[in-house]
Parts: sequence; C-alpha cells; structure tokens
Amino acid sequence: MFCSIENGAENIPYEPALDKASEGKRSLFEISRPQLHSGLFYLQPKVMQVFINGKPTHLEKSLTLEELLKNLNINRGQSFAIALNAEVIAKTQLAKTHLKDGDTLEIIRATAGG
Amino acid sequence: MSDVLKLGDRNYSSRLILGTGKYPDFQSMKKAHEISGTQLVTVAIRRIDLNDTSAESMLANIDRSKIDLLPNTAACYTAKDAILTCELAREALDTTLVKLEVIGDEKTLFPDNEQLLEAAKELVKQGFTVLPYTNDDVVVCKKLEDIGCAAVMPLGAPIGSGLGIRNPYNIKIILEQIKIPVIVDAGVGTASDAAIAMELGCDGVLMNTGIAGAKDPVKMAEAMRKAVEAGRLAYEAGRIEKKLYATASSPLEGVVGT
Repeated sequence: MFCSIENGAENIPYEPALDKASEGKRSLFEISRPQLHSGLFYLQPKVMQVFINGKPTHLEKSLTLEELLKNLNINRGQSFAIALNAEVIAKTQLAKTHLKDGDTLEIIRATAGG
Repeated sequence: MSDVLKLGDRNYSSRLILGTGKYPDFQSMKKAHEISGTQLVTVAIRRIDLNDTSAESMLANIDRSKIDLLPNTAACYTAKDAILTCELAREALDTTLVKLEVIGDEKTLFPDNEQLLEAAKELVKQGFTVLPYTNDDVVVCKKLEDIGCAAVMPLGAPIGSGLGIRNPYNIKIILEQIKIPVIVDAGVGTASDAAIAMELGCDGVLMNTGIAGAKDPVKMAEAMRKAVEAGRLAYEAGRIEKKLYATASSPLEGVVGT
C-alpha cells in the first residue's frame, strides 16, 4: 500500500486516527519514515511469524539468529546448531543472518541416545 | 589383521562402542563408559526444548579427552531428514563421524535400505565418515561399501531386543565378502553375545541397551569389555575345528591294567 506526498513535505510520521471501535488497541502497522526523493512511503507489518522447532512464533521485528539465541537463552558454550529453511547456518554467520516472515528454524543439540 | 579399529581417519584401540541412552542416571553412564574402556559413544541429535534451554548435563558427563562422539540419525525415516540431521550434527559437534540410521518400520526399527543408500551416497559426497546401521544382508553391505562408507554395521537382532546374534551365518558371509570394518550394531543382550560377534571375526561391537538396561550397568560394562577382548583374542588365536565324534586328549598307549 503506497501513498504519495508532495516534494518538500515535512518529514512527519503518520499516525492513523483511531475511531472508538479501536480505542485502546495498538495499530497493527507501523509506518516508516517517508523517503523524500522517491515521494513514497511504505507500510510494514509489525508482526512476523516464524516456525521454531515446529511451533509458530510471533516476532515484533526481524532479528538476527544471534539475537534470537540470546532471547532464547541458548549460550555459545552449549552444543547446538541451527538450520534455517533446511540449510545449516555456520556459527560464524549467525550475527549476519536475519529472519524473515515465514522462515522455518530447527535448533538442535546433542542428547542421550543409542 | 589390524590391532586397531580404523574408522575413516580415526584409529581406536577399543573395539567396543557404547551409547548414551536409557541409563538410570548420568553418573552410572559415566562409570559404565570408564570401566568399558570405550573410546567412541553415540549421541542423538534432537530439538532443544524452548521452554528449558539450559545446558544438559549429558555431555558434561563424557570425558571428551578419551571419548569421541558419534552422532546418530535415530528415528529418521527419510534420507532427507537423515542428511539434515548429519549436517546439523557436524556443525554442533565439529565432527564428520556419523552413525547413519534410516528406519523403515516402527516396530522392528529395521532400516529402509532404499533411503539408507540414498542418504549414504549424499553424505559420503559431503565428506562424512559414514557408519551405516543396516540388516545382516551382504547385498546391502556390498552396496554401502561401494558407495564409500567407512564401515558397515549389521544388526545382530532388533534394537534393544537383547536377542544376540540371531544369524551368525549371515554375519560370517558379510565378513568374508566385505573388506571395510564390520561392526555388529544392535541386539546384544549379554556378554556371550558380544564374544560370539568377535569370535566370528567382527571388527567391533556397538551396544546401548545391553548395558544401560542391565540391572547393574557398570558391572555389565565391565563384562562387555572382557567379552569383546576375549572374543577378539579367541578369533586371533584360531579355534579348533568342530567334529561330530570324540578325539582323545590323552595318549592311548601305556594305560594301567592293559
């Protein structure tokens, strides 16, 4: 959904007016700052859905895999590995890999077995 | 005859490979590993429980200076899942050794040979040292050898069944036809089963439930160590032939009263 604004317009973040029906509820969309040269601004979904170990998880914004591990309290000292959309991500790449909506993750460890 | 078990570029003086599953606690697992003299133990690769991501104490109870880890692909039913599991294991544990299991049937846990061969091909191509769990079938073992696996691991009996070496003749055929190490994996129930496998000429034995499920796992681990050593020595010593009738062990001349 795009809206155009005139060149030279002030750089004001746009907040949609809430009617009574949505009073107290948060806006589903956050609107990023308009780019003056292109004259366009974009709506971005605030909520992303990814699947971690088979379970859907909602994220407020895109994280790197490094940040996700920190949020999950998985520390580097443990044995673990991550596959993103069925591709194993090397530990050196975790800070550079960003999650997108719809991504599927497998986060594994070594455990007791025969 | 080699006096070490060669798996890929690794050499092991112990021919007994153990598991880490189903022990009453990690203390007894650690003691069993120590007394068995094992240098290689299997581990499973599983999803971390996101509700409790604290480090498990299992790995902390394995002496990594003496024991290598052998990740398995237990409960994988497709080549695709097994391959991804191995890739994850390599990243998690920094090893290329894998025990490849691709299961075909829930009740017997017998392998799906078609998927097993497909997975083995891809994993060998990726540089893994593949130890495939398989039937005691020389045809499949030959195909796994040709693919480039580091060993073949025919089952003695179903996993965890404790039935021992159900078909020693099949194992003997495999030993005659296959040049890479042959390791009996699955079905060992007690010490004599392990000794029989080694007496046939196997290069090693892999077991988990036989020890972990015993009433005294530490004592059974000691028994298994001795059984594997005794069986290997007996094989190297060269046994006597089996005969239908008696051959006396003492001289027949000079018997008193004749």
